[in-house]
Amino acid sequence: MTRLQLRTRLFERLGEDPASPQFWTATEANEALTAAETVLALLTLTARKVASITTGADVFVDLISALPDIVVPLAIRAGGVKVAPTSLTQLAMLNRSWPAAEGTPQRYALLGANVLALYPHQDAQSLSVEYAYIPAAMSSDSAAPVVRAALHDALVDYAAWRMRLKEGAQLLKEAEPDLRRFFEAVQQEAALVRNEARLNQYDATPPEVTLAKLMEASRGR
Amino acid sequence: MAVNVSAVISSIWPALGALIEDHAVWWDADELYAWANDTLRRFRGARIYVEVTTHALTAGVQNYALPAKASALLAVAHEGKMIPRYTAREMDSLRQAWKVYSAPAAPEFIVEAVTSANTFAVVPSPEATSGTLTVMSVSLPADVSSGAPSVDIPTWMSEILYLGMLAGAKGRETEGAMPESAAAAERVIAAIEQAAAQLFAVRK
Repeated sequence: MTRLQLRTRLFERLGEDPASPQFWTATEANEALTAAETVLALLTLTARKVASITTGADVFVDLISALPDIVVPLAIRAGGVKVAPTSLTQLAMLNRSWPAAEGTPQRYALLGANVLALYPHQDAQSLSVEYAYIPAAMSSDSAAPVVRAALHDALVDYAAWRMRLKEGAQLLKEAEPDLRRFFEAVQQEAALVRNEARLNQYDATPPEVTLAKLMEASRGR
Repeated sequence: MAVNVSAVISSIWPALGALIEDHAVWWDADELYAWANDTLRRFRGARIYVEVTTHALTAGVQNYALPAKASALLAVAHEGKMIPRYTAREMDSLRQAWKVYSAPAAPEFIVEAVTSANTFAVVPSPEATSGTLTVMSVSLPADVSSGAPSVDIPTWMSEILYLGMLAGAKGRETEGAMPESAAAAERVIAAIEQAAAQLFAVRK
């Protein structure tokens, strides 16, 4: 579906005339759809791509500057060879002087969402990073979401719940099934991506947030 | 690249019944920035933000501060060499006089929270100024305000900030309050925080 088709469905869901909505604007609907794709991509790691980065002299890489749309690295390669994921403790056990070691990276530790530590490291090292990312907002009404077509209805579900936050009360309560359907779609997609991650030997898999926890969020308990 | 909170705030006004700040009756942008900062603080459980800072190892100075917003020390290196970390209790067992032990040599141990929660001590206390300590800590991003609306956080955090600011606005007692909307937004933030914690919580 295109953004226009998604927005039309969204306004119909909200009881609005898609051609001339009264309570919401097209911009609000577009932003809600973008937000839906953002949350979906974060919880499922379903949007993936490859980019090259070049390291500086520092052992730590600022991921947010290097790859602004990143969620998490899935596979990093230096000269075509996979760099293995590890932890700070393991790095220290391997070599207490790991921050000073120079050479082609063999291991990396992800520190939070924003820092990558490389061991060993060297200036001007080119790395190929396959990573889960947050898709950019759809740029026009003819543009389509990045996530697969089977998930497009889920985008409308989250966007409908999000737009009902403006109204609150009974109308927000009536949107709880929308949020529940969205989280069910997240669960299904995350299971698929987890399987793909195993096949591809990715370094990260979608978080295993239980359906119960997500349903708790949608039911308000 | 950072998240520009002013852009997120612009998208919130319509949800608060106003197209721009001037049309908003019960809230203003400064309050929304305050709620954005509250949201960043509340989201600390996910441990998504790591700060790497440095200190010069200085003669006679045993205690060093973590960054102002740090919530946990991850590791410390001196001149590229990791320094083993112990608690004060462990150090008492290893070397009873560790608090008065000084030497010209490089630090052998790090002890957390010796003088306050946001400090660490190096053992032995350095007798000479020598090299740099690199400190890795779990921290919080800088506060945002109308004068400094950009913050270095992942792109996806913009939705957390949207929900957090909306929850703050709808949750405050005004004629425009909608506590049910505030509660719903906060429940979704909590669910996403749990997911983010699984993805990013730092492994030491």
